[in-house]
Amino acid sequence: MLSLTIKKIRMEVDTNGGRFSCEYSLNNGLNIIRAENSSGKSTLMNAIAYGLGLEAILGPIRNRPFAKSVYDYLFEDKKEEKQFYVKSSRVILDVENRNGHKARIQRDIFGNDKLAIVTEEDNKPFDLFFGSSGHVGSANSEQGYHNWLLKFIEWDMPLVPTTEGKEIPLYAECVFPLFFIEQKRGWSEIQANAPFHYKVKNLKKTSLEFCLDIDSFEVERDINDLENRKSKLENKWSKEVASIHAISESYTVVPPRYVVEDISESRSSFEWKIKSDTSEVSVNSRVLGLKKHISSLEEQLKSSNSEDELLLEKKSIVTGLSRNVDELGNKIERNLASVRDIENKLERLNQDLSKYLQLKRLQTVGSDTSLEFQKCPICDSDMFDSLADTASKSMTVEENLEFLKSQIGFYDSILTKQTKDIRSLTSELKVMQASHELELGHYEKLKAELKEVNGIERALHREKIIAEISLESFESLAEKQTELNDRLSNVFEEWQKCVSELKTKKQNRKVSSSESTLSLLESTMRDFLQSFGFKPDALRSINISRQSLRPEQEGYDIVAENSASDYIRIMWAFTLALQKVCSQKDALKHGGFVVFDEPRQHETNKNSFLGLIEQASRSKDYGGQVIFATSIDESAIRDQCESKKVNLLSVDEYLLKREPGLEGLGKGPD
Amino acid sequence: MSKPNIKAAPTNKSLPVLIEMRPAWRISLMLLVIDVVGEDKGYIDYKKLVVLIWMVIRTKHWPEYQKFLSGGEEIPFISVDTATQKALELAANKSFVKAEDSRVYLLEEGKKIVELILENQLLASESAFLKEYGKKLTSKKVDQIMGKGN
Repeated sequence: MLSLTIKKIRMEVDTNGGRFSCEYSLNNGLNIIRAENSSGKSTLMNAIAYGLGLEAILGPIRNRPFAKSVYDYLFEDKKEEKQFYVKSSRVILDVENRNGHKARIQRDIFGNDKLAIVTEEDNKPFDLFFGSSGHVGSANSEQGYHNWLLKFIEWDMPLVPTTEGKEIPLYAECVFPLFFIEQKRGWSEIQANAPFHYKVKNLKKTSLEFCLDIDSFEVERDINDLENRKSKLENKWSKEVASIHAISESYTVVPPRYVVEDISESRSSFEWKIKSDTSEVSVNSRVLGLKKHISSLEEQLKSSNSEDELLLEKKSIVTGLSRNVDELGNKIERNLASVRDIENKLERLNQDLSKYLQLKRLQTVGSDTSLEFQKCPICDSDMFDSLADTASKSMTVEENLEFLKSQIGFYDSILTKQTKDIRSLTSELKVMQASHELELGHYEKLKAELKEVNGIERALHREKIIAEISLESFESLAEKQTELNDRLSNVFEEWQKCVSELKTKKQNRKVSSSESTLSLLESTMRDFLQSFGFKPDALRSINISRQSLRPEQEGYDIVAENSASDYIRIMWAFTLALQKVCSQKDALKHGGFVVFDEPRQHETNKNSFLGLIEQASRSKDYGGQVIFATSIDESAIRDQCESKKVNLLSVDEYLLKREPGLEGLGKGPD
Repeated sequence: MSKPNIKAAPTNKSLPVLIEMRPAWRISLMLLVIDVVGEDKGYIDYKKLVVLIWMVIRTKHWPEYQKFLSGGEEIPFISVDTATQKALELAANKSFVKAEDSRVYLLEEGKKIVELILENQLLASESAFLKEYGKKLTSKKVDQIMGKGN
């Protein structure tokens, strides 16, 4: 649907010398406002956007999108030097929606610019505010201007995700840069003036999806929600893992190796291990072992036991632990040596890469002075690009660069793994050293006690007390382990579910785009391009990207890859095609009018521009409206305009003219 | 059961080349050495050229070379490098340099390459090494390296 037609535009400037004004009636089809440079054409075009409350589409930081003539002073004509000082100024737009309902919008430019006076049909005028009233913006309040405008043009704006993960309604200002191409920045690219300060995610694509009814907003919102949930779960996971490591340290147990902070590389449950003199045991086994040990000590207390046996047993534990400490130390040393080797290798590879990049650069900048040796300059036989005596073909410089990059990637990953291993071995070593010191202390104490009277009993009692304390501590650790594993598996399951849902949603996003609309847009754009003088060969390479929904040439952005003439014609064709396609389906949404302020005709040939006039004039056939402001010589377009019934408004002086009296426009719309 | 038929098959796969074995790289170094050390004369002694290319390639040994060139007594190990000879032949044939009376001269075509190198700030560390130490390689030091005099 085409939502709006501009029926009339009027500007008024009240000065110390009376009122200056201009008024133009606009039709469906093509309207050309032709005037020399600095006559006020852009002021008039910008007044359309401003009058509609869409000044954000005139580019960033455009608080005052007009010339001095509506704020400070103006002249009566181009020869006069007498200045008239501005007291107030305003724009008055008569608009009509697709159902034929009329409205007049009046907004001060210099004066109270936060207010619009709106008159619908012949009803009483009412005031609407711009910006925000308290916390409510004008798009959300019943008294807000933008709320009224959206209702008038029958646009129901979807909620869209922002780059900060929030949700906001898609504002009309985000969409209108597709239809309104102002002079200063507008021609630099399609949607050049899209207002990024609203932080709408994928703003340009989202606006096009809205126009083309490629309804992925629901999917995008779900994706956004799922991404937020996933990120919260990942945070929760890394906090749980951090607490597992903190507990490991306080209990001097080996931290779990396969439960890591990055959930995607982790296992969902863990078991704490305790290093003994000979092996690594789980907490639960340790609890069982301690229980058995306590019963055996109780048995020994009942019967008489040899002192030597007890001492030997302790000694063997201490020796075993000491051996483990040494082994771990050696393992760490070996790994450190390997890391040093890899670091040296990487240093060499990085140096080679930097030298190869320099060689590549030298070959690129020195293309006139050949530094390549494919043929031997001496005997003219084929030559490998190497000074070594080799029978094998050499890689090209580009291949060698890729080879070096892949080698660097390979060694980098080994380095990361080994560094991780060293960290884990070092924490194991700490645990082992602490156990060794503890057992050594017990052994020394036992040895001293056995020398005293009743030493054996005292030693056995001491051993039993230590074992009981230890049992209590490991039982509490086992409980913590169960508790943490429950929490981990919950987070893990939820995260997996989230990841799989996200994957499905993202796949759905790809297939949800409406192919028929895009094909129609593509073929319509190509038809326009053909009438703008594009050759059939070149036409085939221009597509509508299924990713960005914008035109592309052989997969490349048109701004970067095309000549100025091609690029301007593609912008014309795309903008008009969007209007034409949107006119054909009710579900599609378009502002209804298209504004080209100085359509850069000098960058194309005359025939292309005449082709543009012809095609734009045909917009009348489907209820569209096109407005050009141009400084082109009238004689160059007069014939074309007459034959195509173009509404040509040609002015040689300032557009704003001094009125004989102070009467303004009538009270209601026509 | 028949025996598997295993045959050695030659591969067409290209092999990587060390940067210093790329003709373009070594010739660039050669031209830079003549330009920086030969300065206005526009030439350098052949033996000095060979030694300096050996040194400039081996960045890891620069501290050792710097010590020797600044008056240190320990003579660094330097050996025959046929690749430099090959690079010289290629460069001479491309009219980058000419070899005459045990001297190697930088020619116009070679100067163009040096200009490109300097304009684009390529081989910057090699250039800095040569500027600081290149001239300190006297004929006496070359003889010491070659084992001729003490």
